[in-house]
Amino acid sequence: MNSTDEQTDLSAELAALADGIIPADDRDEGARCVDAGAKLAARVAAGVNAATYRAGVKTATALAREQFAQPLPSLDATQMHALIGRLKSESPAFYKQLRMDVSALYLSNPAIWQRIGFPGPSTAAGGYPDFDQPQS
Amino acid sequence: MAERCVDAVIVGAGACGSLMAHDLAKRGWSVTVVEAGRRLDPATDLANSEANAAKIMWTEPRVYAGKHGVVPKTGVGVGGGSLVWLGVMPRFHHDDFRTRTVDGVGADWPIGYDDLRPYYHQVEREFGVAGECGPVAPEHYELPLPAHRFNWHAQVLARGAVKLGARPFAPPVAVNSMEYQGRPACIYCGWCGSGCPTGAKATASQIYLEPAELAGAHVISQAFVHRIEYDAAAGRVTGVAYTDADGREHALRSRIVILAAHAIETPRLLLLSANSVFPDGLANFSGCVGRALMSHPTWQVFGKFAEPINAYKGMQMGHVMVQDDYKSDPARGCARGYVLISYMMTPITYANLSDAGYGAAFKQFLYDYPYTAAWWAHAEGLPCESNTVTLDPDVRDARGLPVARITYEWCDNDQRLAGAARDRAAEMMAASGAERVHIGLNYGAHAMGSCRMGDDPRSSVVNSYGQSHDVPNLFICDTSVFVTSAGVNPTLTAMALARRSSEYIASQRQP
Repeated sequence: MNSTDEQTDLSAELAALADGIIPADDRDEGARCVDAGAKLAARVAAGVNAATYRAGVKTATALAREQFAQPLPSLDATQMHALIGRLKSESPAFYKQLRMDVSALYLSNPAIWQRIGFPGPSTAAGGYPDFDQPQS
Repeated sequence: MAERCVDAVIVGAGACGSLMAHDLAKRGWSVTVVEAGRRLDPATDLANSEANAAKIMWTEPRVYAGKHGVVPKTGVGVGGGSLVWLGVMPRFHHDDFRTRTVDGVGADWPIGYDDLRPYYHQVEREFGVAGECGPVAPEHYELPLPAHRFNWHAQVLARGAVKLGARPFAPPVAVNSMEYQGRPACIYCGWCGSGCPTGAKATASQIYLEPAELAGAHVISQAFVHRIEYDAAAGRVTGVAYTDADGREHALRSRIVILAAHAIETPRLLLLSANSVFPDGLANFSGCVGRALMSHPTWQVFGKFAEPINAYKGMQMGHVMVQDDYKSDPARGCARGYVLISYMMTPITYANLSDAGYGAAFKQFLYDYPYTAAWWAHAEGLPCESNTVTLDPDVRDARGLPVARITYEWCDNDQRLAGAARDRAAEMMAASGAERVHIGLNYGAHAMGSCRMGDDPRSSVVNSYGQSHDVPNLFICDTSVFVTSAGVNPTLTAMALARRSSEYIASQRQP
């Protein structure tokens, strides 16, 4: 397998895992909104936390086979939720890194900020003169 | 080519290193400051983005070991930790310097509150601290700037605290409540931890390094000091060796060396500087270099309210503090005390500190962002000899140098005290009217105490002026020298100690 194949394969698996951290709901597609799988895979290919990620994906793949007899990207939302729970206890360093990275990708997107009620940078507009007033 | 010999080389351009550079350069000393990180322009480099963390936080590899894997946040860059800090600057109390005598735990410092009083006063004025000393201060003292008005978040937190009999107040914070010494008043944009883009938050680079450079100090950034040179015949250090951003090696000669690289990199550098006289690390005849590292055990306590809080409007930390449980209380079943501080974050940090799991529950926590208030329960962590900074035997940095290995386990007292702080914060959150209280991340804040001060050279690394017991022209001026951690934020005390050291150094010899 060459490095491009490896990156492609990891992208699908990381996309599935990222969906497990921040799943789709009636408001958005979760981690998929920010193309988390491809972005994480590109970072791994560039060597960023690569060992942690590769070991983590390997563990997750094995767990998916063992528990659900399916490849990681084929798990449904309920199955993925259960798998993330096992990863949290069995591969805590990977879980922690994955959660942190997926959160950072998701929460760096201004459209997501709007959805969670964060207006984004305000310095250019003069900050918040109403900081000490009752909020509505 | 041999470098000229300067009066002082300072390793680290953070709060303490910058202060030392300022003080010595103003006295006519030739000073070179060597900083591992970059020099940043706040207006352009630190515009509102949580991605700034990659610029101002230490991101080089370290190994975290021990039962609890404590990962204290550390800053980097010209300005050091003051770029990323949140500016809370309370004084330590009298008893914080004598915990062994008062409570039978920890150890007593070789100095007391009275020794630091004048230096606290000076630094508060130079840094422009706003706030009140509070109802349980070490003594009544005035700060140079009026307190910030409580933001709405703080008002919500304070109403619960008051219901339970506590006395919330606006603590000392080094963020301008009005224009002060050419820096603007805070506009409450809420991005303090990503580097303040307006200059309202005090940083060492603005307040100390800029005048130091005008007085002749030379600052070399993106330069990593990896060795302190030692002349065995003279029994003195003679300078440092550093690697620049392009990997080139340089040497600097100096009459004294001052370490201000914080409580992890300072002991690492001493350990990296082992030689035939000091095989276990420079200035380490005591064996105390890297031992008794301390952090503050903290819990993040969130409350979800029915009405909007919009806690992102305001300073991230320190609009309100509760310090009523700062003294030991036998009813808690543990020694020492804690503070509760308002702490609300930009979204990524909110997610990271939430400990809110994954899946739909985590996503709901994110949707609750504007309805959420947060206390930071911040307790004293006791010194323990087995909490250490050592050189990792396996992992090396990009330069090929062993990285710091941080081994940490909270002691029973730490866990009980932090638990009491967490529970009290949760009670107050409920009393404020939260419809749901969520206990977030339990983590270690601040790094202190890996090269403690003391009068006995057998059990301490430096004397009360930060001067090495073993090498008289080597000084340590950062939180490494702390004997205990106290229950409040450490930067003011580290800076007051550095000011005391600079006076001592200057009194010993003329430039």
